[in-house]
Amino acid sequence: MKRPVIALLGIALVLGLTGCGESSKLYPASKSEGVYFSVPTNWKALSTASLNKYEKESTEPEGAARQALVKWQIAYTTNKKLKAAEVFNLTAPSKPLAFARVRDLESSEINSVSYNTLRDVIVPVTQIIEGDDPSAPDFQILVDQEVVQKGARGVQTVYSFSIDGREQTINQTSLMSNDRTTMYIFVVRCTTECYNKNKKKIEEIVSSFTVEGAR
Amino acid sequence: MSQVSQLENRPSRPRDTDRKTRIHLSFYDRIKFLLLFAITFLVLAWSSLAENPILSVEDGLRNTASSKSWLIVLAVIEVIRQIHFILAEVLAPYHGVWKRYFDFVDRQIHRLSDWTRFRLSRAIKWALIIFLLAVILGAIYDEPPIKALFLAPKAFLSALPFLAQLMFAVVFIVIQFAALFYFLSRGGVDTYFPDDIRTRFSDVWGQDHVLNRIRENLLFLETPEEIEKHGGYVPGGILLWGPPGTGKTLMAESMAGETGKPFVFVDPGAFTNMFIGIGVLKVKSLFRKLRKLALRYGGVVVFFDEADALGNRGIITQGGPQRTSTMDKSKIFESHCHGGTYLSDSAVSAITREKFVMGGAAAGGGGSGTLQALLTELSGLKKPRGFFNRIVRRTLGMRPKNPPKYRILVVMATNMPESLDEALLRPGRIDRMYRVGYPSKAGRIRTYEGYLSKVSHSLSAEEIDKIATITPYATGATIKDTINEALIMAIRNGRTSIEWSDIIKAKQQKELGPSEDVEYIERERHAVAVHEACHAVMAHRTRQHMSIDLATIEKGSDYLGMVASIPPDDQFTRWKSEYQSDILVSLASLAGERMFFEGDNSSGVSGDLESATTIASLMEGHWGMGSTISSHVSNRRFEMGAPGGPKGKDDTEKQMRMALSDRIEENLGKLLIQAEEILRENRNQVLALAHALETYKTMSGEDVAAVIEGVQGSIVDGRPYLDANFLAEIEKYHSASVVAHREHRVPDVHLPVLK
Repeated sequence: MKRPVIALLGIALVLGLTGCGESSKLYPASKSEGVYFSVPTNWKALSTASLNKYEKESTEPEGAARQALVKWQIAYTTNKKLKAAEVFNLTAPSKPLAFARVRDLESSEINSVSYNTLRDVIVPVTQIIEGDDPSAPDFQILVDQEVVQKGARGVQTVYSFSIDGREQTINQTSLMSNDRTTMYIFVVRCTTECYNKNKKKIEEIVSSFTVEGAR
Repeated sequence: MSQVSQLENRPSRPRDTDRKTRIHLSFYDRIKFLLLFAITFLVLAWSSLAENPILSVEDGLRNTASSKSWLIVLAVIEVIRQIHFILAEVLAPYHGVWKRYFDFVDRQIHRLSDWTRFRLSRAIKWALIIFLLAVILGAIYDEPPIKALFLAPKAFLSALPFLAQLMFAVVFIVIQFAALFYFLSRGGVDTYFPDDIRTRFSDVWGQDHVLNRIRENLLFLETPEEIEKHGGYVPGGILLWGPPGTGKTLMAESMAGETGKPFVFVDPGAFTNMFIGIGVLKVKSLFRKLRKLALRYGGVVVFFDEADALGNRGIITQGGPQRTSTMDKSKIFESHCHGGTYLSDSAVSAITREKFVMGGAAAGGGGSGTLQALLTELSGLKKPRGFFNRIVRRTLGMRPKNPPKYRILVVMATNMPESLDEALLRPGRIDRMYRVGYPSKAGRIRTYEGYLSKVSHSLSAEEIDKIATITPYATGATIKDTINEALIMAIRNGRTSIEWSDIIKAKQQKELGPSEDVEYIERERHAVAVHEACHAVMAHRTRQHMSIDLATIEKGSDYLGMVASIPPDDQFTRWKSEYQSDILVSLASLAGERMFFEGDNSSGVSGDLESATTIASLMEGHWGMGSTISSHVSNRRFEMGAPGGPKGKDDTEKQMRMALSDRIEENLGKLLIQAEEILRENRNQVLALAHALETYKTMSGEDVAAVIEGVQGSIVDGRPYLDANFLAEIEKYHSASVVAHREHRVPDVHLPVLK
């Protein structure tokens, strides 16, 4: 009599606890591309569809052509009012913004891709460092290290610079797949003040970025 | 004491209908659904963990719980249900209320038949399992559950080559055995189709009573509805038993010819195999074949020749047909000229029964399992036929159709029914046992006519009748052989047509074997002739239930001379007077030798005395033909003394035996005196017959009678023996022989010759 009741209650308890509990994180992922990362639960997503839509409709030249190469992209932020446009321009966001993007490399690109190309994916970092680009005088690199993952390898660069007087810090991980056909970009950025405030959280998010490679 | 009363006062377990609370569920029944849900949940969680490398276990569980919340809902419902059950088990009022208001659901469900309910619940369970499987597969393949359900077989297909590789290793070994056993289990079974068989019932002669019964069986094989619609069933099998050569196989063959059904002949050696288990396979494949034939041709006859080869399982069978059919005649009855040959058949069988204790007939037969397999095939369970019927219909939840009625007539033949297994002969397997005995006289005539019609002969109808009469135990086989022997004799004598004398000689040749062509010295020849003549005269004078078939003094392989008798008609009871005359015939040799040789007698009477004593003992102790009534058999069984014997335990048996043997000796003594008297009265006849035997060496029964009566016989003329002068000559020759016998020399007088 006692044993079954205890067992019954045990099973009920396990099921009940897991049922009532909330997941501690969000786990955005593209299983087909083998890309995973996690963000805290209070972060909101800008969906792949809305980002794609914005990019297609942008007036930038070659914008549509570049968009065709994108396989997956998604953005997360704590700012509920963030627009897709803010993801793609370099204005410093006031709250942390994470952006993941997976895109194919064109055949012409494949041969020329180097770690420097990967560093230059958002801002021409190498040029600025060599002093060829004077547009960002306070540009500095905080971290620059190689990243080797299961499905890809590349560099992680953390750098900061000011535009229009607002200094922002960008934590950028750009990887190329082992078969050299795909580029993975993961960026978490914020004003430097905000970045420093959320540094621990941001680093956690960046470290969760995992590339297994397409299945 | 107290324990016993506790046990007595213990109330019996309440009936389910009397219970106030619900019946306790077993632990497994309580948790089985929760277990199923838990396992499903864990598998789903595991799959989500496997999919996302950065997911923590905790979050994996939580994610799964939130995305598959229906599983939690189901589990909660199950928990509530189980709590309800526990309450109903513990609290009688709760259960009562529940029953009062919700019992109608149960009643509604129980209105469905059990079979329907079972199928319904099975369908629901399957649906649940498939649903959960789909969900799990969906999680694994990251597809909608329904689609995943179709992907699973694909995955299985892609794994097939690997499975095939594994299977090959297994099949490679198995196939060698399978092929070996397949080829070993062939053979030993021949199938004849209706056109192959030309034999009909009209070819079987002299067994009409058996044929009539067999016709009945065939009628049922042809139209089984006749008996089945009236609630009966078709008898399953026939056992033909009887002496060898009486036409059992022929009968079975004609059976197949008559029905127009296939006839499957099973070789006696078919079930003797090198490996254990092949016999079983053979039986199974045989019956598979039989069923196929039975369905295709509407019936089949299967014939096991020499069924005793199947053996038995070591049980000494009891009852059943009379077990004397194969009993060897005791060797003493065949050795020398004395003993059993003078007796009737049943007297001989009585003696042999006394002499032999039948051993356990634990013949190995076909080997382990073969007989058992046959027994089950004969009356085992019949499973539904066909792949579709058995597998597909059952899978669809339909009841398989009943197995068809296979019309298989099993016929077995044996001359050793006692060595068959008892279970084989039980009703339902081999229902009908027919003794195929020696053919009737009409049958023998028919058989003689049949075989004689194939050769050239000059026999009249009367002569055929006569030869049929004097060959009471002739079978088809022996008749065929006799006629062939007669033909050989005729050809040796430069003729192509068989004559009466050829037949008689062939018969003697067959019955006695070739004579050894040993010439006796005269005095011994005379002694043997007198010995045989005494038997013959005594038989002729006193024995009415047997007639003399032949008398001979030609030395054979195992006799010096003999007087063979045959029963003129079939008789099944035996009488005191007949046994007495049997004893008289046996004792005639002793009485005669003493009388004719001045009180001397040879050792050749030993066999005669042995059989005379045995019969006298049986008469006195068993058959109520002596001076007392009580049976020696039961006396012995109850350890009682014989009547008049001393009571008491010490050596009762011996006492009784002494008393019994005294009476037997007394009876034999009386009969010996009687025999002497009869021989004294027939002194002339004995000497005349001895003379005739010395002259002709071998005489037919007819001629023996002719000499004794002094009339014309078929070959020998008996009339000269009535002549007093000739009798005096014979007497003189006899006296000279006696002198020669006494002095061990050649007699002065030679055998007188008839003019």
